Amino acid sequence: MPRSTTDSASIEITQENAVLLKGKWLIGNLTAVEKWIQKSLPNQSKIQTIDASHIKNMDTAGAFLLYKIQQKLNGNVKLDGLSEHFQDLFSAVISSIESMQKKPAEISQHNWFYHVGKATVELIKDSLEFFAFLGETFIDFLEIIKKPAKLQFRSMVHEIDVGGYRALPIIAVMMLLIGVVVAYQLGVQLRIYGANVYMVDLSGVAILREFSPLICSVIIAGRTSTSFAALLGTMKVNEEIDALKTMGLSPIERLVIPKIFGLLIALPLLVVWGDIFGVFGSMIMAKSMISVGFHAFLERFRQEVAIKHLYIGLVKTPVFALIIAGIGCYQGFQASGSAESVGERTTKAAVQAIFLIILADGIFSILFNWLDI
Amino acid sequence: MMPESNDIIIDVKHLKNNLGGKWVHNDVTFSVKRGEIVAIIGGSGCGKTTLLRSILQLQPPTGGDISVFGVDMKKASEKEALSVQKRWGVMFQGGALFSSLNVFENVMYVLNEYAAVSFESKKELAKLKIAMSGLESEAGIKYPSELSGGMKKRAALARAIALDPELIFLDEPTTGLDPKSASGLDDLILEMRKNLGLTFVMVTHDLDTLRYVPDRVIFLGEGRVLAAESMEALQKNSHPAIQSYFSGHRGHRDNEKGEMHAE
Repeated sequence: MPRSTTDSASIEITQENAVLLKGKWLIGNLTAVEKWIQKSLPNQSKIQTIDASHIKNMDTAGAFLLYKIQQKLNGNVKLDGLSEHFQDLFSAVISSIESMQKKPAEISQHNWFYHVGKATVELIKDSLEFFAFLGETFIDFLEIIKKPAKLQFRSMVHEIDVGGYRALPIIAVMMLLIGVVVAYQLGVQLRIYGANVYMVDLSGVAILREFSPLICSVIIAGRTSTSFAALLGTMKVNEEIDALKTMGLSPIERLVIPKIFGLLIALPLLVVWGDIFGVFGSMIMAKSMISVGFHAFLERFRQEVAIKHLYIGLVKTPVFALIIAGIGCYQGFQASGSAESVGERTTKAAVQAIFLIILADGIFSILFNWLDI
Repeated sequence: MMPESNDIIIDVKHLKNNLGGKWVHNDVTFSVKRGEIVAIIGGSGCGKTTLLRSILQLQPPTGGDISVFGVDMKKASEKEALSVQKRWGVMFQGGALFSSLNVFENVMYVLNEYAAVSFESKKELAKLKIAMSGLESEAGIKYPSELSGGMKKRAALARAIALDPELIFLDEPTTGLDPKSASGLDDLILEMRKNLGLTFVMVTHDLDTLRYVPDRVIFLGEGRVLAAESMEALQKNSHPAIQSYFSGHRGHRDNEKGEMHAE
C-alpha cells in the first residue's frame, strides 16, 4: 500500500471544544498542520480533549507534533481514540523526548578571541610537526644512504613511471608552447632594434635557466604533490599507516623515501626533456617570424648559449623535487578522520609546493647573482 | 506503522547475477512481509552483499525481477524509484556516515531534503532520532571519526530512520561490536519494530543476533535460496551447505548435544 501524499493531515477545532486530528500524519505532509499549530492553537484555552481517532497513519514526526499539541495545551487535556498501534510509537517518542530534555546537547559557541587563539596554536603545532617530519625523513634518508639495500627499489621505479614517464606528454606540450611564447615576445622587441638573431641566445638562456625548471616543477607539483597527499591522506584515514607502524616498519622509509628518490631522479630528466621542447618551440617561432632556419638556429645556439646555463637550470631541480615530494607527503600525513580533511590537505599540498618552488627559485637567483654565475 | 501485516514489501523473483563471468545468483526467489525481520545469511562469497546491492539499485541485476513496495525496480521511472527510496533506510556496514558532518548534521541532511516541517521541528526531530537510536545527546555534536564502533552503528541507524522509513536494511549491524553493544543493538531493532512498525532486512554472521532477532532466516548458497525458515528449523536443516555453515564450534553452542551431528 503506497503512501499517498494526497491523503494529507489536517487539524481543526470542533464545536464541542475538542481538537480533531484527521488523515495521515506523516513526515511528508505536515507543513499545513504545523503552521496551524503555531498560529491558531495557543488561543484556544477551553479545549478539553484531543480526538485522534481519525488519524489513519502516523510516524515519529506526526507523533512529535501530537506531543507538541499536548504541550501547548498545558498537558491537562485528554488524548482520545489514538489507535493501539500508534500508542507504542507515541509513548516511545515521548520517552525519547524526555530523555533528550534531561541532558541538553550544547554546541559550544566561542568568540573571535578563541578562534584566533586556536588558529595560532594550530599554526605553531603545524610548523613544529613539519620540522619533526623533516627530521624524521632526514634520519631515514641517512639510513638509506648508509644501507642502500633498504631502499624500496620497486616503489621508487613505480614513482619514476607514474610521476616522471607519464608526465612526458604534458611537459612536452607545455614547454613547446612556452618556447613559442617566449620567442615571439623576444622577436617583437628585438625586431625594433634589428637584432633579430639575438632571439636564439636570449630564448635559449631563458628556457634552460629559468622556464624549463620552473614550469616543469610547477606542473609536477600540481600533478604529483597532490597525488602524494591524497594517497597518504587516504591511507592515514584507513589506518593503513598505523598498520605499517604496528608491523615495526617506518612509514617514512616505506612510503616517503621512495617517492623522494623517485622524484629526485625523474625531475632533472623531465627538465632536460622540457628544455628540448622549449628550444624546439623557439625554433619554430624563429623560422616563421624572422626566417632563421632550424640549421642556422642550432648553429648559433651551440656557439652562443653556454652549457653552464643547462647546469644552472638542473642544479635547482633536486631542491624543487624535495619540496614537491616533501610537502605532498607531509600534508598527506597530516590528514585526519574525514574525507574533507583529505581534500583540504591535497589543496594545501599544491598551494604550498608551488609557493615554495617559486620562493626557492627567487633565492637561487639571488644566490647566483652573488656568486656571479 | 501500517495496520496491514500480510502484504509483501519485497518480492525477489528468479534473480540472476553474473559478476565478472561468475554466476553469483542463479535463481534467487524470496519475499519479505511487512513487519517482518528477515536475516540473509550464507557462506562468504555467496552473494549476500550483491543481493542487497541489487535490491538497493546500486547494481543492476543480470536477470530476474525485484519489486519493492509493489514497484518493479527494474522498470521504475526515476520518480517511482525516488518514492521507494524515501520509504527505505539503509545502514551500511561501516556506517557510511558523511565524515565531514557531525552526527546531528548527518541526520539533518536527509531531513532537510525531504521533510515537510519547519526548520525548528526538523532540528527537534533530528535530536529525537538520535535519542531513539540510543545515543546520548552529546554524541550529536561529534564527528564520525570521534565515535566508537558501536556509536557509529547507532548514528548510522539514526540517519537511516530519519525519514521514518517503513523498511530498513542493515548490513552486518553487530559486526565488530562488544557483546553489550551488540545485544543493545539487537534490542533496539526489536524495539523499533514494535514501536515504529518497521520491517528489517539484515545481512549478518552474528549467531547470537540470528538466534534472538529475526523471524525468518534466508540461507543463500549455490546461487539460490537454500532455505527460508526460522533459526531453530534452519539449524536442524539437513542440507550439507547449511550443515557445514553451522559446523564450526561456534555454531553448536546452543544446540542440544544429541543434535550436534545430524548425519
